[in-house]
Amino acid sequence: MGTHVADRQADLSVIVDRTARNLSGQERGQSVRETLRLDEFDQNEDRVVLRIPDWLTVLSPSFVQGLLAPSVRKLGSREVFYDRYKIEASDFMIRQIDAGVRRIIALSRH
Amino acid sequence: MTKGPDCPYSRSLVPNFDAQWVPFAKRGPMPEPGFMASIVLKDLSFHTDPNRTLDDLAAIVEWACTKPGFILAYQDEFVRDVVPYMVLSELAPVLQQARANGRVSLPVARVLDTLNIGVELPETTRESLKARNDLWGMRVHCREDLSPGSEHGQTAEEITGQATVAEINKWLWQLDTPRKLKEEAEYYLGAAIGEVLGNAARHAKPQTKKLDGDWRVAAFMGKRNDGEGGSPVLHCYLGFLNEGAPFAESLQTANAETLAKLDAYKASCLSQNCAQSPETLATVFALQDGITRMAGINREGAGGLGLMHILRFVRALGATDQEPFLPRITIVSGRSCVQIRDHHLANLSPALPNGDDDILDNLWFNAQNTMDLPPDPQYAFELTRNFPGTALTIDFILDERFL
Repeated sequence: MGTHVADRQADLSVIVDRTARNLSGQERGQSVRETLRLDEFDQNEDRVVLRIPDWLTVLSPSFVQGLLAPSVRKLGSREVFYDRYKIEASDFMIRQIDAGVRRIIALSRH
Repeated sequence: MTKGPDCPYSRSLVPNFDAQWVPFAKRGPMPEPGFMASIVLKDLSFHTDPNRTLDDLAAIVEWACTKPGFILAYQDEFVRDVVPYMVLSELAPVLQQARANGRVSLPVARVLDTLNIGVELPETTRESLKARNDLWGMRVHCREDLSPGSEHGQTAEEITGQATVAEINKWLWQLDTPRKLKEEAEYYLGAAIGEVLGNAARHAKPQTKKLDGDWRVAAFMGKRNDGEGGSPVLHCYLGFLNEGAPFAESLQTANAETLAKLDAYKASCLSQNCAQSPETLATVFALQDGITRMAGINREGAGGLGLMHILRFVRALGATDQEPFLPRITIVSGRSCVQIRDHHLANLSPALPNGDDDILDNLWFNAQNTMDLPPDPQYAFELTRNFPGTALTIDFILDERFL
């Protein structure tokens, strides 16, 4: 996913405490998106580091869609999305997010 | 005028419930157990025979309306579907006169005890249950028991998904050789529960925009030596109840474009003299990727995948080389039943895809998997009684690869 100069930090650790393991639901993802100001970052064409704390083990696909769909749609492709967004998370969490990103793109072409 | 106890499941299973109901005080004394009539309950499962299971539950309600006392004669050796027992739990307001038979199998006893179904188990059965380390049950989790957002900043749906994963890990840790779910299995399980509950919270009340549809979740696991050569197998059962609008009704609030596609699908199938009602066709249609009742949401690339995600996760979580134990899902919604198993489930795309091709799924339940042909009535069919809302029941084994 290449070198990345980050302008903005978006950290999910501000959303839930260390006892939380799961985040789920599309509306929940949209709400977190607002809290993290991703629309504003996208508007300014900022580069973003999206940090997922290691105590979270499950981001449901609907959560990922609520969180990231507007950004993925705006950027148009998986490659351009990852050029703008750097994901700091465990390898398995990155797979969860990438599955969501791939399906957002597939759905937008549906 | 309402006459019987407040029990929506009774009213749905027996439409003239209120007319039949006789107050307990007018029924005479409860007979001694040896003189009580029994309802035999065998093969209680929405996977194997949903119509007969509904008939059994309705018969219980009918007896509960008038009998001074009766016995529920549970004859299953194993539990193969937890949802009928969850419905029995919902019938508690009318089951005050019911007793369990004296020879309940221990797996059934564990479910009755865990789900707090109002039965008095014999003391010897309770003692035997304490000694068993191969039967585990999770009490019913209800949305109304949890205050959304109050615990660790999480929603009720997130807390329940997390609690269920933790509970199953607790059971696995009690095995002779303690085990734990691998991170992949924890993800499949937690995400599946998140998707089911999110769907229930969002769609149960289609006329409102509130995410407050009620739901109930229960889980059960039994270790049986029914694998190859008598090897132990961990059988898992997850059940979900959602007392709200059935899928077919909820879908009626979709946008005009979706409703036009639905109408075309129904017209095509009905013109071919299909075996299904328009409601059952709508239930099949609602499962498809890209179909949502939330107007305009598809164009945002953010909706219409939740139901198929559930199926993809169960397919992944239940993956096994042991053919008799392939996973299965049954959806009972209003007057419709859809059973997702066999090649229909096996052919879904991976839950965690590596490529971009064919990662959206359609499941039309016919040999060509096309919406131009009606569903096979073996997998999508009518129910003879109305179920109040939706039940989703899942049966899978925990394969070694996930432990």
